[in-house]
Amino acid sequence: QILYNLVPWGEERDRELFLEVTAGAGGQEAMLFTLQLFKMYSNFSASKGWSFQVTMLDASDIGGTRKAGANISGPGAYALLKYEGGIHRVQRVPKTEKSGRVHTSTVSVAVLPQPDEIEVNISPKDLRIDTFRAGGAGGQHVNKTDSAVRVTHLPTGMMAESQESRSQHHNKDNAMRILKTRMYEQILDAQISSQHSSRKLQIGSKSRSEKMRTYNFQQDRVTDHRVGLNLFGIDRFMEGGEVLDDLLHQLKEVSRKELILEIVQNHHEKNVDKS
Amino acid sequence: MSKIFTSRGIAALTQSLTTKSFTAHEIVNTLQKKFEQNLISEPLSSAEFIVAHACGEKTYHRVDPDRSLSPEAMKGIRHMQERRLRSEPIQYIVGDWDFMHLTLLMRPPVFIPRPETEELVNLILSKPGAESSRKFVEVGCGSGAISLSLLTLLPQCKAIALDRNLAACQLTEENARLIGVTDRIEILNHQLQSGGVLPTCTPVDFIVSNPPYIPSDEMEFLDPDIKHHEDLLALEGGPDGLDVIRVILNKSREFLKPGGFIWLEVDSSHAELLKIIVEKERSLDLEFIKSYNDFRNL
Repeated sequence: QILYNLVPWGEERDRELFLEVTAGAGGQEAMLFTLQLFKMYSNFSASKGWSFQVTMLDASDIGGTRKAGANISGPGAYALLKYEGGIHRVQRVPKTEKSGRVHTSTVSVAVLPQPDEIEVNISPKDLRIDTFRAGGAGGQHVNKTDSAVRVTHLPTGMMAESQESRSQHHNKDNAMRILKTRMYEQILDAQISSQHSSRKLQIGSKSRSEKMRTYNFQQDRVTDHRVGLNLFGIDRFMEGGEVLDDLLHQLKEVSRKELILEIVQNHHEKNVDKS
Repeated sequence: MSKIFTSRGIAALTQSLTTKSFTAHEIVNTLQKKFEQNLISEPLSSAEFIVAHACGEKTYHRVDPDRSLSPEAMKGIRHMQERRLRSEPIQYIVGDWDFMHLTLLMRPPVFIPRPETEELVNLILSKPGAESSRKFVEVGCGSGAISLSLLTLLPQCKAIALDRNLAACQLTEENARLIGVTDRIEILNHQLQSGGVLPTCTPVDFIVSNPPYIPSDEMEFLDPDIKHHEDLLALEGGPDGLDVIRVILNKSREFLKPGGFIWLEVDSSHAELLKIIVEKERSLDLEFIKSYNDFRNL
């Protein structure tokens, strides 16, 4: 408890984040669940009084979404939601399935921190900006409503896009902000030392390919694989209210304990080295 | 481009739209297919903007794809669909559009601001000393996009906006009221060419314009969206597209302060031409400083 109070958690600062959900394997089922997860996070944000600003919702014509993104902002938002990053797996009988066979699909969730001032310096000459205008004369010759912008950082190949605004200028600003956020995350990742790789709870891009949670509809059970936690009542979980909040707080506790343990171990190792 | 659309087709769609409750994404699908069949440009975006507008949103990203629409919303959608099937631009159908950080009213046939023009505004703002500007003239203000975005970002500045089209002046006036800068803009229904001194007491710091610059022989290749709905006088710039630009250059000394700037959006064919004109016509007393390529390097 003493140690717990000594560590500077600094989580009030962790307010801004960019959340992205992407349908993985599983076709339509994956896309439907992707949208459901996105709504869950939207409801969760609302219940916490955080702002949830949709930047992108790539709606599929067969229902659901391939990819959706949102800027979330509020006290401690990143501190909690960072544990949502990773692969979410869903097992259920799809509505369209005639023979009652259970399908497994996946959704990839990425959670990227956005500090208030991102100090990532990007040189304009390193950027390629793509808009819908594929070729030929523009300006007065053309009137198109598609103002999506994709920015590519040529040296690293990192990309960001924005299509949320009707103003191209706005979309470019958004895309730049997202790009900086991604680059910032890379910088952060580099700072996370190798000691952390033994942790159960990974954050950042390391978590990206981890199957961290399964939603089993047959058994009405949500399992978080990182800490071996089982929760019953998927529908209530998906409401994005207390149940999710409880889980995230539990994960936060586990993560903090891991950090304290690490600090103690490091301290011990240093002392052992001295003697 | 021939359009395959029959009133029976619309009636059938109308009927199916009234008998059942549809979700937003189902309606987008239906509209998209209809627009594709009728060779309307940007069928998906058009469908999405129409449905978004019916849901009270600017963009479809903010709409829950599973939400169902009320009969009143469906009625509105039917009307918007019919207008789009006549290839009327979405900006006119929806009635407003975003330019920079502003939302401006749009109304036919006033010229709809293009994204390239946002670049022009940014260039003006990023020029060192921009904040110390006190006054500028815009030639051909259209909906007021350039003047109003500059005025909101240059709070010390005043503008005189000209347009030969009364409808454009009225729209700029409405937008100025919406934005709240009516005290800093003077809107004149005036054609620069017809002479008469602009009622300015002091010469202005810069002139800005997105004048009609399309060469006459390229006008026929414009999309029906543009050709049949936007003010052609806001587009056509004579045989080489430089007619109005020449007038601006010639008249500039009447109201531009010495050392002042002229900012023009021009056709991609004009950069070299303008340099030559300015250098040749010493009487213009202008210096060609720079031509910026738009974001696609044209």
